[in-house]
Amino acid sequence: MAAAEQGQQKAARLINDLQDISFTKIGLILLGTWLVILLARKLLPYLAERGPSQLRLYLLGAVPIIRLVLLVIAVMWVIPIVFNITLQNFLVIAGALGVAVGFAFKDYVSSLIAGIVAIFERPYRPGDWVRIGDDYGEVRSVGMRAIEICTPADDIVHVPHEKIWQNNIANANDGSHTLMCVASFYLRPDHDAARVRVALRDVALTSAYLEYDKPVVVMLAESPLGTHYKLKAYPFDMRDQFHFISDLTIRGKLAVAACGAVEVQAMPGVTGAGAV
Amino acid sequence: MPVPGTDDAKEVVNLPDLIALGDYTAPTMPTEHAFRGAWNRLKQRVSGPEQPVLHRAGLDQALLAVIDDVADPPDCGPLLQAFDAQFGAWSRDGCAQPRLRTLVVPPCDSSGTLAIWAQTRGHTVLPAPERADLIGPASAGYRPQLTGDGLLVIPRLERWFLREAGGLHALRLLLSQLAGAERRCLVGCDSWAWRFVVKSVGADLALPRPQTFEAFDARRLRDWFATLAHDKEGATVTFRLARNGDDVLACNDSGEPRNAYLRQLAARSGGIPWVAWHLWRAGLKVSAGEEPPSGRAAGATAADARTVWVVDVDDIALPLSNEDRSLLVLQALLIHGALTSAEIDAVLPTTGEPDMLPALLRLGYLRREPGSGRHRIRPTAYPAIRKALQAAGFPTGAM
Repeated sequence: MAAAEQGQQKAARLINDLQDISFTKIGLILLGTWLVILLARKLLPYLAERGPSQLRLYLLGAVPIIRLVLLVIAVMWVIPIVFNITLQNFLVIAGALGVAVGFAFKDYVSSLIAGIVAIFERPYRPGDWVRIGDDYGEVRSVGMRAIEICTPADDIVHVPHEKIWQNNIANANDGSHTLMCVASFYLRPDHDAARVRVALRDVALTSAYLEYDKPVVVMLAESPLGTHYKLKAYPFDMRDQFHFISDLTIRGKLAVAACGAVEVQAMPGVTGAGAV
Repeated sequence: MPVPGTDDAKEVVNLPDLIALGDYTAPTMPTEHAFRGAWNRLKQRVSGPEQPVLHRAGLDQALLAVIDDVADPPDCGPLLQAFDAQFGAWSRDGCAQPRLRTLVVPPCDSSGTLAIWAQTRGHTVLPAPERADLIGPASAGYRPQLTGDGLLVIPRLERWFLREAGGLHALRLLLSQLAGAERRCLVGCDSWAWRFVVKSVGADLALPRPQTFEAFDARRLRDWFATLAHDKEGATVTFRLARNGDDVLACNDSGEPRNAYLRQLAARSGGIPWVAWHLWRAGLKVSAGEEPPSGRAAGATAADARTVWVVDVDDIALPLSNEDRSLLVLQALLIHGALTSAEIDAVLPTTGEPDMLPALLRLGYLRREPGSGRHRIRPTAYPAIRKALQAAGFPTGAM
């Protein structure tokens, strides 16, 4: 009888007795977890930049997964040390957490949960080139609350994970090592379009940055500015995308001129430049 | 140069067969090699470096005459006999089918094996246009002459284009004429160039399914090097590893090389005969001053008529700065075979970056041909270059 009462009292206790909690053990668990996460965050990107190109995205993508797994292990390890886990206590803790989160940390926790969802749904991974809202750039790291994007202008933008609830995420490469690049040319309509199209295709086919296993396409359409050519091709490494587009543009201009076509000059009123 | 039909040629056995390009399998590094390398590095850290049979200080780079004596040219070795075996009957039969054949040749073939074979057998070789004629107005008027009798050999398809927007015209014209020609023709193309011409002009649609020769594995290398291993006096030369004194060409009962050195050499060279041959020659050393060896070296060489030592040749490192530009230069050279400075500028993106040629020449990646001023990849640098290009994600060769 006494033992049953003692058991009930013990079950009713939410937190273990302080003398039963090994703070040293908790400290070591947290320190160890932090150290391994730190090591993964430093070592894997280091190896990704110096190792074979084919492994780069796998190494970068492993960082958030390793962190999530380690955090889950650490939490599952620490909770029984601190709390007396019973169904009753679990409901009490869950209720208290629900109120706290609902009032104080709603957005933060929303981002944390979105971060976990993002690890599994993978709308973006480290190394991907994404557009979220007005921001375009390479995903440098996927943190617990936010991702870090490096834009072509070398700005670092932190975007909270919760954006995935409301915004469209445009991922240019989606885990692949390459992405489509487009070079645009606006020409006066009075030219031999077939010849220009072939010449622009050759421009892409002879680029030093070209990925051979992907298609090269030249599309054209009439626009208010003139005949708009879009030269679409893939570089072998997406980090070369701006070099690739520049190369296509430089050599494309020469090819267009060699075909006797003339590029149109942008009119300020049409493009918006100088409209103010 | 050993000509088929001579005694030298008869000694060579185990000639490589002709296979479909897609079936080419490069020899792999022995499994234990990676572990052994890591173990040796660890051991060296703990207990210092292992004592080799002969220290490098006691070895001199063998003189060219000595090397030529024990590993003589040409660098294509038994491949000339293999050409005879595979193409001889077909080349002589005027009605033989197929009319057109494509042969993909491994990279860094500086001597032009297919052209040598064609010339020595009296076949017509179609000269490639000058690179300056491949672009600009001159390219429009160029017409390749495919008419005539007998076998026509186009040894280097990579000489028919320049990777430049207007540099594909001559190649397209050649391929369209080949499609309609009645004459039997053998088209040779470098494996890196083949990948490019398939993408850029659809060469795989215009030409028949490409073939290539089997890789030179350890056994083939052993057979080849063994036939060369006689000095001028006719004495057999024994090649011993400087690190442990093992006989490199010694075989086990099944005829496989007993030592892993040739397996590593075959893997490192990707099964390419001339790359393996140049790496082999680069590692040959003789005792300094021809003094008699002492200690362990004397024990190892006691029964040898003549000993030549073999040391490991390390890969060259790329220039640390502007590595991306260096890789672009090296890839362009692999696709085109050889280019002048001006041609390299024409096929590379205009970025304003410094010229990498002096650095690459100094480091031993390239050599400049004295007459033409063209730059060419050194076969000994090819393994390092291939590894670097592959690691950086570049499209690599077709083999």
